[in-house]
Amino acid sequence: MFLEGLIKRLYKMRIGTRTAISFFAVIMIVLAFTVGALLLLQYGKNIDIKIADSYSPVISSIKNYQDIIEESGTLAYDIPLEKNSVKKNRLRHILKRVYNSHKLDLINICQEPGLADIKKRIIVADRRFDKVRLVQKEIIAFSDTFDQNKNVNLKDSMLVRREVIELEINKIKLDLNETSLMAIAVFNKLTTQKFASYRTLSYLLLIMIFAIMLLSILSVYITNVTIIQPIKELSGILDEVGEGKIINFQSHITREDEIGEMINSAQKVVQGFKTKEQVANAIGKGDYEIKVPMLSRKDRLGKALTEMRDNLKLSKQRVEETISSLESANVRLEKKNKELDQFAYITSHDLKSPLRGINNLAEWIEEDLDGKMSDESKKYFFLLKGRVHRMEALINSILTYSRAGKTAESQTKLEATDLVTNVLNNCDIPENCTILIDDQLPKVTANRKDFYEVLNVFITNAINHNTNIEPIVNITGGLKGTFAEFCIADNGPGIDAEYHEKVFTIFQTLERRDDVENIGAGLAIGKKIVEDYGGATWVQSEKGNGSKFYFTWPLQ
Amino acid sequence: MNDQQINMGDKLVNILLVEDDEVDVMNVKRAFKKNNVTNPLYICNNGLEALEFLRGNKEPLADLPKIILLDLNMPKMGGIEFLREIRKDDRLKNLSVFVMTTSNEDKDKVDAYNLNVAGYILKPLSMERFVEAVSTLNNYWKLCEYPEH
Repeated sequence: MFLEGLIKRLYKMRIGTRTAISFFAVIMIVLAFTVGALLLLQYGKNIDIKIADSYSPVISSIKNYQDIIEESGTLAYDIPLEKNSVKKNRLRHILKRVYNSHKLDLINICQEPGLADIKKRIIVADRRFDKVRLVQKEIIAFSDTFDQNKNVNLKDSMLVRREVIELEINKIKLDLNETSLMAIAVFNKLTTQKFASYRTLSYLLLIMIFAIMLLSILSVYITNVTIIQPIKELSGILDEVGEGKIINFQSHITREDEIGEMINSAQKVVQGFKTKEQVANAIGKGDYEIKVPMLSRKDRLGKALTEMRDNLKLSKQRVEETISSLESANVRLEKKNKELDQFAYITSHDLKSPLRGINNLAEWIEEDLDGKMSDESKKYFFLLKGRVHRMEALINSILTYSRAGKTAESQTKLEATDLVTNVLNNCDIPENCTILIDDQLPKVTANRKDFYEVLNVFITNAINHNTNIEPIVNITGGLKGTFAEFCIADNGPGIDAEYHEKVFTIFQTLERRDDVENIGAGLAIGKKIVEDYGGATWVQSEKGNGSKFYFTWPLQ
Repeated sequence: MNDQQINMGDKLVNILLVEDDEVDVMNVKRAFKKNNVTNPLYICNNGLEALEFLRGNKEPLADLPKIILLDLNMPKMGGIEFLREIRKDDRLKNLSVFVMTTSNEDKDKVDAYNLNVAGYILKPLSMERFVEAVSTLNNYWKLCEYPEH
């Protein structure tokens, strides 16, 4: 758990931080090593001291041994001159015990292999002292004899022996001094050896520390140069890619390690994006046949692009199909409309012939029965002919209506004012009727006959249905966007809002046919022509307040 | 063949009426009568009959009609087709043909005049106006001179 947390925390750190931390860790380790080395050196010194401690008893023992020998010499020297039992006893005691114990101590101490030479020398010294001891025992014996018998001249022989002792002891002393020096030399040699090994060790440690320091500095530098710099460069590039800027990315770093692989991967990413961008652009421009290069089987962007391309292609096909089906439906509809017009035309045309026959026959009967017919029969014949004429008018209206529409031929630029004048010249205008015409009626592009018919329909409508005592018809026009808009206003009876649509329907009249002989096709014909040109018709009116009939005409 | 000869004078040119409607035939006869038109009048009921009559296929024709009154809408062979046939025929191509029809269509008018008709008359609804029309025609026929044969 703890380790996992630590690893997680480490991964959250930036590589720079991690490197710094490891650098400090190395320094800490180096410091620890230094401290360790110093401690080791100290420890070495302590060991030296111990070594010194272990060798000092040898030297002091030698000294004690020497002292005892010297003491025995001094005692042996003194005894012949003075009567001193204390000194004599002391010498006896030395010879009997002290010397031996000192000698054994010394030999025991010198059991170590490094002290073998010293031991030999001690043994040599001991053998020499054996002779001295014999002489000293003689001196003690002479002294005892002298004490008991003062007349015995033993002084000379004692003095001689004393000389011998002194000589021998000096020799032993010299010898022991040498031995002491030897022991010291051995000790010195050992100490120096051990000390030298510790010093070498500490030097090695120092060199190692220095090397580690250098290495870690070098590694930090190398890490910085070889890892952090390329990563920074890469992250900059990837940032730009992330912002959607697809750049030309050609790294100058050519390497074969992980960084190199990473750069190659980044180049692949950028190159992949660039290719996809080109493909997406091509698709955007409508190239649905372009091959989407797949980076691998797992290329999701590639798959998405392919899907997008296919869907767009499909939608385009569908739109095209829809358009073509709409177009064909339109064509069919136009054909049907034409057929309907043709049907109306042919039907009405064929109806005219028998109608004329009926009329003729009626007239002939009238002629043949001239003077023999009752007044009632005459009235019936009058009504019969009236109905036949109305039927002819209806048929003619149907014919005109079925023929009305945009004439494709001879479309010209027309002065509306000219045509209005033309229409008015061909109209029966009551004397009391006032016609007002706008000076600046717009020009229109149309077949002259079509536009004349439209104006004729609206103007005659305005004149014929005006019941005002002083009828006024006002013709105005202007431009409204891409249309010319005309208004034919009258001060007639006006039309209720509910009939505003109806007035434009064929055969819909607002008065009884018997009262006003009116077929009710004019406005329908006008509307048909206007709408065929792409314009519109409508009326603004209130009952009793006159009417304003509008129609628009496309300028182009 | 339904030829009735109304022979009123020697100098008068023969007239051929090509018309399928009985009432219209009667109409023309009545109008002739009213206007005292005495030209011999032959009647055929359609274009084919008229062609056979003019070519003398069934009975030899003594005097070729100079003037033809032609309806357009007829069974078997219509007026325009009949016109095409006679204009191709060397013997018949110079006949004066007046179209008398109910068709007010521009196409028919153009086709007819392209085949060199002498006139295109719309049959009016009322007898009165038709009588006037026939009177005018009669004056026209009288005015014109025709080659002997």
